[in-house]
Amino acid sequence: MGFEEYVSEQGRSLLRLAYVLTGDAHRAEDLTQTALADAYRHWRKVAAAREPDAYVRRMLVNAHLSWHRRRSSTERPTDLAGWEPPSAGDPADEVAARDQLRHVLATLAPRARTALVLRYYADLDDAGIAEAMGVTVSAVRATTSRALATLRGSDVAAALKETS
Amino acid sequence: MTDQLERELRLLFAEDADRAPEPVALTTGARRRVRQARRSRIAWGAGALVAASMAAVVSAGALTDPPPTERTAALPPATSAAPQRTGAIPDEANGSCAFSYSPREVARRAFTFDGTVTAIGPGRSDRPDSVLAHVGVTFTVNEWFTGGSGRTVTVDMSPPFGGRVTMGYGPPTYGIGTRLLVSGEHRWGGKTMADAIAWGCQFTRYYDPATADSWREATR
Repeated sequence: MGFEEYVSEQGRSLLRLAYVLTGDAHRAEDLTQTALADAYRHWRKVAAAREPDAYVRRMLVNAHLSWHRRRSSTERPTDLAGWEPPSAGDPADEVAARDQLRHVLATLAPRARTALVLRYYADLDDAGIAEAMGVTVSAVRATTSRALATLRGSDVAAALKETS
Repeated sequence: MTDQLERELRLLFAEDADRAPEPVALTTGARRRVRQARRSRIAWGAGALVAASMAAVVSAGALTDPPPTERTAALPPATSAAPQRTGAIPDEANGSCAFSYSPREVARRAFTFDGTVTAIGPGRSDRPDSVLAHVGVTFTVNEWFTGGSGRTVTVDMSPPFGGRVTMGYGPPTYGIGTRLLVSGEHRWGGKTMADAIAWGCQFTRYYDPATADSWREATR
């Protein structure tokens, strides 16, 4: 498979994953092109890989986490102080609960959020997530477990219960 | 609760993914980055020799050309750079275009016009931390088909050293005086031309009367 063919087939899904990871169209574009540039540079190796998709996905996840590492000195968690949970009976409760979940997700450490995205969006198992993130399976389990506990411990749990 | 939370996470991420931008020119962007990285390595590796050569070329141009305007300094005028070219401006999008070119698809773009390049300056739509390097191209508009008005407009475009250019040092794909048929979108969803970006993937083309007629017809 040639590089162009690969991008034609997989570019959109990479960009979608990048967008879910970053939540920003510009950064998603940037991230996808960074990963594809890496892939292009090492195309022979990528094409020969048992799973080229997994290889490029790992490049994308690495680039994403590196970007966060570089910015870690200036990054601050989202401020939740002004946020109010939706009132009961609001017809937009479901949407509001999801927005709240999105808000809490933004406060998670980049690795934790990435692990959740890989599990619940990319549908990877622990081994797949470990490979994509370049960590051990046990680290993945610990990270996702802590991330889910954080979400369960936040107001979002109550909001979800109310809308169920 | 856990099942519900997991279900919500799946729904939320799927919802986010549906808002992802359309993939436009991913191949071009990836290759451009590789070229930029190679250029950078070569520049460092060759050091003074390369710098001296570049300086010599620029100096030679400066002796014969009119005073430079912003980044247009090293660009030859279109009459010598791209004489009588037709068809799409070359790029390397190949199979990575989200939409295939047709006048009908052009009519769906946010803006379409026939214009002549009068200046090339810094891009306006790249975010501050971007490594993308668009340039802002100012046109005298000969005819608006859709999405704008006024005699001049500036839109972001890929630099004129794009296309099938080895290491980025080939002939410019456009320059001052090039007449183009331009179509594109608002990059960040704006309503003014401040974030306007001309599409590649054959959606921006060298002017010819037949293509202009087909755009006029499609956008009527």
